Amino acid sequence: MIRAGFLRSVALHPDRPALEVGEHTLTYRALDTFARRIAATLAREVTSPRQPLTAVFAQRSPTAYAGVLGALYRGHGYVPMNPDFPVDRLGGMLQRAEVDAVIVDAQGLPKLVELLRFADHPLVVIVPEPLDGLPTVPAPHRLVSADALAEAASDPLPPLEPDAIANLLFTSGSTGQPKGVMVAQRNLVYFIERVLERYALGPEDRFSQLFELVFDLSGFDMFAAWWVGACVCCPTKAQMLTAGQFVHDARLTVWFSVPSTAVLMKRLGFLEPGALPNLRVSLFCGEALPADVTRAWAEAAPQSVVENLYGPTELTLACTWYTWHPERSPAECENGLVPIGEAFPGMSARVVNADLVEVAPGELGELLMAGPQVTLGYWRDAEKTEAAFVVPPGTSAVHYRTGDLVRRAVGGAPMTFQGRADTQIKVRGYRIELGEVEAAIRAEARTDFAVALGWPKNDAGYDGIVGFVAGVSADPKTLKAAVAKRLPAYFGLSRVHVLPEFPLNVNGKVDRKALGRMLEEGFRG
Amino acid sequence: MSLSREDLLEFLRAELDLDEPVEDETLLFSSALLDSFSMVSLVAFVEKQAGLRFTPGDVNLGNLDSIGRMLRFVAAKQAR
Repeated sequence: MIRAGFLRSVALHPDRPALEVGEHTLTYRALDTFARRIAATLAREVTSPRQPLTAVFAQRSPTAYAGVLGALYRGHGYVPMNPDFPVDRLGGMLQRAEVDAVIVDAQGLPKLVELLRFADHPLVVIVPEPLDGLPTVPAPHRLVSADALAEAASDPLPPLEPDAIANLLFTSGSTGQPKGVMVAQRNLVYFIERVLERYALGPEDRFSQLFELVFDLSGFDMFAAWWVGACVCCPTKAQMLTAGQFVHDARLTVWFSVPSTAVLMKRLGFLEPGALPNLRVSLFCGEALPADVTRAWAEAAPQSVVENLYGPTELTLACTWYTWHPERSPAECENGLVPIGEAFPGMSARVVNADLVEVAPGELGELLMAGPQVTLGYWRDAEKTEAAFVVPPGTSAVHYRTGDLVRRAVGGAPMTFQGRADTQIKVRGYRIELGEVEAAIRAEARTDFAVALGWPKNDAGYDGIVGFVAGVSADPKTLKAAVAKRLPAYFGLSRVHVLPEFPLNVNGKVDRKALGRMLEEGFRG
Repeated sequence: MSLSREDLLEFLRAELDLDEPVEDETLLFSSALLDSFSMVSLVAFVEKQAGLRFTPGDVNLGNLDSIGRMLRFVAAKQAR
């Protein structure tokens, strides 16, 4: 079970730091005690839970991490809820997850009473840190404050099945209703075991924790670090703004972020050669990884292995990987993007056409994956689960349909990411991959990121395409003319907007939908 | 080369779409008025306008989180 790694480190390294967040440093012993008190409080207050799930309405605080562990100690999965989300969205998650208890920190408190209006069942609200100004919680809900927390019990922890939910992660759904991905204990353990085989990690290591808990990638930082007795270094929101400084201040040795963070650091001058001498492991995941940023990172961190990881939440954090190699890799990149590489051991990739039949080597298709990291599906949504978790013809294993387009590897070559299956659009009947337009814009604007959207929409598809770049000094008209020259006229590129910066979603990725809304609202640059 | 309070206010308003009233000591980033991607544009603007280069060590909230801090940082940097 995933908590076993932490427990092992509590036994082996009780006095080593397990967590640094803001001004707090918690040793393994201290974090263990805190988590046991939360688990004992859950056991005392919720005697017959509707579901073995507990919500953690907290971020970047001791409560957030002790809450995760406390839920796992109790034998529950944790449901992370980000206090920065709109309260309507949080309320929907609270209702749908059917939790009986929610663990709250100072950041969750301001929205707590409003959130409780959405609860259709009595809730136990646990505020485990001593905080001032606790709100009055309306009946039938109950608040358990720090002074009423149960004492840590040293009893054996409740048993867990390998298929028990370790975390329930709500991701955005195409229809607007968030989908809850059920990640099983065994999924997460399998992932962590593969990671520990690949990277030499140990108790001296200091891991970044740039991801919010609602982002599945946060699980690597926590569970890999805790498995080996290392320290999770969680920046405050202010420290997040200057990640390039945080690397040094926190003396990080293991880095894991979305590529956008590296792009930002490069632009701010943090990736000069040799600038990151202490890093030993640098991992990127969550979106396409530009080759030139990777090259700069590898030169900035000469002691570090630099890898591109790929995988949707439905396949447990990441399920393919690719090691950046300064001599070999540039030739393996396609459209200026680093390959996603090969499947984790035990996972198998299948690149298929619309009928789920495997395409020939070298051809494009949708990536399907099978193996021990295939999660349990979507919470309370059999229909969406059946649509996305399929058994392709001629196979007997359940495969997850990623919706991502890749080129099927030829021989031993790595797989390359080619865009989303669902960003293929039709412009006046012509079939167009937006990724191709984005590659053309990136090349002309000499920048790492570009976005292309079908615009304006008509009933059958789109009349044309609009592009976006950010943070470059280019004249939009000249840039558009240059990009249009690289593309067939039927692509219908009408405009390339040059923005000061891209809008980002909560995960730090470029928010394509926000760009679409800008166009709908009449944005003309 | 000089960077004035008015230059910064105009840049925040026109380029970073900041509509809220901003005083000299209004915290821009740590109060989430601006995000980390705005920092890239802001640093580029200050460099160009003041005719100086940020070193990586200069890029921190102590130098960038308010108009007052930026003006003091630029004055100190130019005095060196």
